[in-house]
Amino acid sequence: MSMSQLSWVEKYKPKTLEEIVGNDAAKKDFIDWLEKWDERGKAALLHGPPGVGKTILVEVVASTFNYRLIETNASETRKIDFLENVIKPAAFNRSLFSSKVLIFFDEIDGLSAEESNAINFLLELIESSRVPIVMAANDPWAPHLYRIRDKVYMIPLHRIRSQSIVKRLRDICRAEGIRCRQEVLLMIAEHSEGDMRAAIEDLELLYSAQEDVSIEDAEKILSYRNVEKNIFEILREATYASTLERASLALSSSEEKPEDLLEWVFENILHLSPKQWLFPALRYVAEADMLLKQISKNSVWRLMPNFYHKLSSAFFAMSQKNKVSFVFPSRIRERFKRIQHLKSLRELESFFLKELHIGRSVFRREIVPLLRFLSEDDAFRSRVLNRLSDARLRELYNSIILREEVRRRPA
Amino acid sequence: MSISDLLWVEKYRPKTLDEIIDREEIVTRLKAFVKSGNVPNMLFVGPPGTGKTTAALALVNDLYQGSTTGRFMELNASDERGINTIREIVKDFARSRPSTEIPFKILILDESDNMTQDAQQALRRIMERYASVTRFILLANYQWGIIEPIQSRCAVFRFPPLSPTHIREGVIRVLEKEGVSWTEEAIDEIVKAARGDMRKAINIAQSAAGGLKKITGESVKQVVGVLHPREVEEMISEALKGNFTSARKRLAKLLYDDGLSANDILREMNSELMSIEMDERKRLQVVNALGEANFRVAMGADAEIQISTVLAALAADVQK
Repeated sequence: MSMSQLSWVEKYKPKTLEEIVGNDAAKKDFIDWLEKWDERGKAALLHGPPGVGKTILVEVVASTFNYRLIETNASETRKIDFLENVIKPAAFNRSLFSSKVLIFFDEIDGLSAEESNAINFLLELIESSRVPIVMAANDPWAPHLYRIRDKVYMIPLHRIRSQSIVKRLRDICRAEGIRCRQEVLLMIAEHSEGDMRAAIEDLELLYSAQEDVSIEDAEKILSYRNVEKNIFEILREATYASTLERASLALSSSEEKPEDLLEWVFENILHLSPKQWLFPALRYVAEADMLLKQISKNSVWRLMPNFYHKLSSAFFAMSQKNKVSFVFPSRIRERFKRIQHLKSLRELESFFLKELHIGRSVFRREIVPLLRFLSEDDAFRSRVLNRLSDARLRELYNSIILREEVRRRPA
Repeated sequence: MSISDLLWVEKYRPKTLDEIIDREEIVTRLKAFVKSGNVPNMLFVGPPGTGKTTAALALVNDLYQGSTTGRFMELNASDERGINTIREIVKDFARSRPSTEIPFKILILDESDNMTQDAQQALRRIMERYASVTRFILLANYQWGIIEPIQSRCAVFRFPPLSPTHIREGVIRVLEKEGVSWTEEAIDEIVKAARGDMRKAINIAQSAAGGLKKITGESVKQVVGVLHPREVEEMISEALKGNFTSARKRLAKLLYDDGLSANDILREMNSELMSIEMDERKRLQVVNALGEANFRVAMGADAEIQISTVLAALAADVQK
């Protein structure tokens, strides 16, 4: 594979400690921890938002200090046989490897609360491992990680300052032979919100399309990039996201109105979820529904992030997911028809309510079945039709009361 | 000709207080109001088919000595046009004050316990402001569905389910007038299915007779299931068996085809869930979910999403 096929993120991945931008304190902290580590030492947990260099830091430190890195991500950590056959030997049998070993569990907040097997395994390993273990997470405060939190040395990483990102982007431009405008780089950096990986991806996106990018082009493309994902892609992202934050970001980038997004998630969760996870998953959807109603009733729009968190939690409530293609919500499709039906029902019942001195709920629950049943008799039906004063009422009677095929009356 | 003479339950609805045979205590008090020419605001509370509407209409009839046109109004309180409709009607009443010796009109509000708290607060203010021109008769299934300040401004009348004897008498009276013969078994079946609900009893009797002049135990049994399908119960048992999709289909039918209110469905689920057989730990899980759904629907959440979650709780294994 030639270098030009690599994405810029891969191509310009830092190889040395000096090339890692920002988070100097965390760098020093992590190296200190590793150098002082002995068999009674704690495991380390690097935590911070996406794209600030958690994974890179572990990789570069390992290679700098000649550790052999055994690296796993959330989806591998789920697999117990991988843990038993690869991780366990590495943790306890150093002779397998000629060099020093560092075990790295990336994205541990991608494990859901139900994956207690994996979490128990991690806990046991932290206690007894004979080699150092480092973990990384976006959100170390996820409730199901609390047992792990107590057992580790926490090292926070922070969003990278825009200046530092701009500097890195300028280096890349120089290396690529691109003439770039300072204000465009600044815009990319601001837009990334401290996420170096996103910034480099955006840079590549902008300059792969044209040589000279104006600030207006950048603005257009960057904002477009946020919303271009269609709803199916967004659902796919939310379904397979490794962290709650990523799922939540994906959902919140949807252009659908929140109440429609809720419909999309509700309907697709019903298909995605194997039976045993349906209740916990739907529970989150039901909470999101309530939250959205409260938010719009009280106009507290600043609570919207919580709505997206609840919705994405539904995806994380399932440990396994059915393989399905996403579907258009039937409730949106049926909405018009159902409103029409309800209108007709109301129109017909307002006539009957006046004639019969009954309430709406009695009409719907008792009188509709009664009229349906009695109308199977031809004589009764024609007497009703005779008494319905106008054509519209007769039409409603035909469509609502007589909609079923005439059943045989008991003899 | 009106539609009402096609349905026995309407055709034979007692028109005056004297015709009401089975509510002696209530009737006595209502007659006293008529005699004095003044009535307070009233709250009639009781399950369906226990004579609340009948008593209210008979009172109105006796009070205005049969000429009721323009003197009273019946409204469905859960009407989505809501409290504003009520206010307009009451204002209209105020403009056209009757010149008879009875200086007020009567507004009968059916299903008042389905009104929101906000609407009930507004109603309370209307009741006070227009006290001189309007008296309210509120009809409700549940007293706790009515806010306390309204209850305290009303004379409360309780309508418990009718006794088997009264149901029996009521049904036989109608059958005799219609010239329909019956077997003892038929009456027993009707009384059993009606559970103290006179409207239900008479509707079953009319359906069982069909166009014929005779009802039997057999013909009664056949109509009961059709008139009062146990759809909520079936939805629950489908979910319990793990047939979530089929349970959801039933829910959609109840909500969107039949147009039942989420409250009605939840209320029925509530009583079903207590009696249906299941693991007690599971019952706990389901009852919790149902409580959440109840609360959220009352706060404006989506009925289908919330009730589906309860169905999922029914279909799920017990959570550890």
